[in-house]
Amino acid sequence: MTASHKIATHRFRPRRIVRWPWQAGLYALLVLVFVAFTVLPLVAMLQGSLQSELQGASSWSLEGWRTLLREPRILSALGNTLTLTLVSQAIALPLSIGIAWLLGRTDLPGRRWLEFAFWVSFFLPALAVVQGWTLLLDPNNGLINRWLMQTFGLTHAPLDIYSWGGIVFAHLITTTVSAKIMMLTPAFQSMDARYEEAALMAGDSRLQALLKVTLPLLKPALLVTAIMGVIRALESFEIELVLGAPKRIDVYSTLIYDMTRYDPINFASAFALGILIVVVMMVLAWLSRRSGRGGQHVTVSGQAQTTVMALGRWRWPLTVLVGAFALVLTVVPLVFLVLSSLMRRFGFFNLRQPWTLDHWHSVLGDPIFLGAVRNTLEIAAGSALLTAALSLAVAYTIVRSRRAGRALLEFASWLPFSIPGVLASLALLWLILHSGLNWLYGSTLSLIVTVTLASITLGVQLIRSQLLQLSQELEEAAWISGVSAWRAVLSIVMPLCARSIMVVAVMAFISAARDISHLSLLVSSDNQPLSMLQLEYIAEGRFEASAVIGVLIAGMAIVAALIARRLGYRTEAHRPDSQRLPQGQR
Amino acid sequence: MLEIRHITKKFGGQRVLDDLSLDIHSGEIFTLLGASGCGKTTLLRILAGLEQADHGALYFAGESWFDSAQKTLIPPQKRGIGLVFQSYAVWPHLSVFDNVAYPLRHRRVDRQTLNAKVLATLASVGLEDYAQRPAHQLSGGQQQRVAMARALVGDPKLLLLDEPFSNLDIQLRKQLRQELKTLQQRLGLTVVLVTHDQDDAFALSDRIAVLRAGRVEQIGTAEQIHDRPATAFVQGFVGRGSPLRGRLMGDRLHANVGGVQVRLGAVPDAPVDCALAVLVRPEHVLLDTTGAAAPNLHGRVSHSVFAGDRFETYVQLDDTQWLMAYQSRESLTPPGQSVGIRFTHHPHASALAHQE
Repeated sequence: MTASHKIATHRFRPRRIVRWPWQAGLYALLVLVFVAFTVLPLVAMLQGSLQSELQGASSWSLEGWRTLLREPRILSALGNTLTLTLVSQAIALPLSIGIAWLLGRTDLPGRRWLEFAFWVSFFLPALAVVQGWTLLLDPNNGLINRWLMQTFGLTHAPLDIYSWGGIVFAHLITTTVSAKIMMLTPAFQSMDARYEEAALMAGDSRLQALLKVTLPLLKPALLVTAIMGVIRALESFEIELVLGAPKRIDVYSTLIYDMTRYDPINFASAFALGILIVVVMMVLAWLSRRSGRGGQHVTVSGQAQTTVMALGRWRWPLTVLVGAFALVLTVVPLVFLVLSSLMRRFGFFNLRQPWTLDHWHSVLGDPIFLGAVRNTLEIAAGSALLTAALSLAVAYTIVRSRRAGRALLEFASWLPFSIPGVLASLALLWLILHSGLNWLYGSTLSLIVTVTLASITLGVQLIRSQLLQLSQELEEAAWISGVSAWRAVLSIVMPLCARSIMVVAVMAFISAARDISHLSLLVSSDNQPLSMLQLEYIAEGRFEASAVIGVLIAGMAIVAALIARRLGYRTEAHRPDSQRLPQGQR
Repeated sequence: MLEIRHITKKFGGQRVLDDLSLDIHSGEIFTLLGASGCGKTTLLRILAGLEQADHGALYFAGESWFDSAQKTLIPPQKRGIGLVFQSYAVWPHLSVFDNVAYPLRHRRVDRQTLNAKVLATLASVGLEDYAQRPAHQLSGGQQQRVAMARALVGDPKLLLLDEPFSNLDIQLRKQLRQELKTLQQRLGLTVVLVTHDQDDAFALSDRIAVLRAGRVEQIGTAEQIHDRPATAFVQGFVGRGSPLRGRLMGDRLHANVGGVQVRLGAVPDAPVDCALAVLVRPEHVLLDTTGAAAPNLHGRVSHSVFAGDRFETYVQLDDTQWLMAYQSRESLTPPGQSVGIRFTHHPHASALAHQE
């Protein structure tokens, strides 16, 4: 051994091992701010549910919980929430599995166009789609109702969108089915065809192969999709608000909205009800994470063969069916939305002059509208920036940092996922009112922060999955080149993740632009965005004006869908083949 | 030049480097050779500053890079080294030129000098015509050259190479080995190379350290390591050979293999008459069909495997043990032939392991 060599005695500039102490401070700040951002709404809800205000003085009590139990509408609201969720999910899941299988595993003609149609549907704002369909299914003068009454000589409208069944229908034609198709199609596409082929070789029919081989293999992906569907359904707000109001069909979220908007105002009970829901949501979010983990290795293998299955004589009938369904989700509501924006009176086709541009003129010329456009752009752009920046910082820390606290960040990034929009809105309102930061109330900043909560979980997950595909050596090569860790992130990591970052920004933008639930309780007349203006017009019965705004928001959503699609994004995860990477990246 | 002192590193309780000390001289190619998991890549990453040792010290040209006692640490940015990763880590979003220019861009080098320097470096690795090519369109060999150019462009005081040829096919590998050797001699570089491939190690290195379980087994030139292995592990790891069962004889210099005395290289630290595994190199075995000289052992040829420039002939000894010998096409012995076995090298074999 040569270790006997004496250690060199002259040394220069010894440095302390404490590496980049200001960085450690910044790291602590990030963890602190992010955890506060995600945990404080929950703390606010808990505190809010236990406080009751008597003659201006607040005190701790269980009064809120007791009032909630005595609330006459509670049972029907919870019952409706449960039944609406279960029924719409029970219809949507098999339907989505079938369509995703057709799109992902078979030679269905035009499957890429159909997939794109569902992609657009996923982006469309619910209110706009529902309003388009209202023109057809309104009990008084809906087109389909009229046609049915004339053809069969009925005295009553057979269909009514303002009903329990109407709400289920509205869920199915908005994002309930399309979101599932967007999640499941990539899973079907990346599944190894050899398993199915082996089953066919063994003598199974195609249906048997689907039921006995394909679906069990995709069980984790199916579970995640089903649970996410329930979570999304529990978050639902504006559909019930609009369609449930005439017949007083409550769900828990509209009940919370009412409790905090109309006398007697009862924050404590609203929070108490919210906590019940959040607990359920947390369990669901945890289940979804757990089943998602186990699944990825099963279906996505590096050398998967993804040949498609020939449908034979079923090919064209199935295309017509899926195509018709895609039209029901996209073109049909959009066409009738545009029509209703051009009608003198919504639904009155037999006027002498049914068509007019008056509503466009009056809406576009209204200073309130111009202010709403500015507010929407400010809120959406602000949220896009904040979501992208925060998601990158948090995802990078979760993936790369060796410090303690990364598990905390990861947990915190999932929390907003379990807070429905109305509750987030309520919690932020409570926080602002009790923090003494009154200037925040009704400020655009407070709205940006609140809608960012809606996008942050997806943002962190998307950028995280991209970062996991980047070998750390790409960064280390920059350090060795003499470049600081910060500049390495700027010059290497960010350009390589540019697509995901852009997708996150676009998604946050559109989610903010069409958001209603997160903003519902925070918006004031000064910073009302387009989506809230549309809701206001509907409440006032100005359906033509609300259709004008619906068309505009839907237009923004379609542009966003095109951009996100252009960036080569798939809902499930980034696929390495969308951007061919050399061996340096795993 | 580079002094590695008592470096210890644990990952989750597992000791990856165990009080390891080494000296690497200026201007030499020094190879860390070992099987996967022996700690060689960890040591390289500690030299680069990408990993921090738990204990020990690291001095380069008298400058302290790391000293656990003094609590000093120079970050990788300030060490002035070049590193070629096993994955190459060529940045896919940049062109070949921008990849190589990257280390200079952050050093306030003026534009003209930068251009000249980058192009000269690209020329030295044979990529002058590829400067504007996007990096993700390169083949594996070209990426390796880009990674090499990027490591060299800043005139590093020390070049570290992590399995630089492991992802390349055999022809390219031979060519790049030669190019690296030429480049190193022209620039007078000090190179530390990590590999599990003996051919890489033998073809390039001035000196080799064989690592095992975080410790140095032997340091020496390629010939020393191959011909005079210091330990049984090195003997078994380097080169090929047939292990034979035997017993240590009373003089402690010979082993009894199938009733025949076989001279051992190093004297094993084992009691007399214990069971012993000895290793015989195939190039040291001569199969004799004439019976001219007194053979060491007897056996019968089973079969031969064609290996391109030679045959590998398998012989079953009289006591059923197997032995492999290299044979040329001319001297090939047919299967079934009874042969006498002579050892052409002295000592005949080396002890691998023993049982009490």
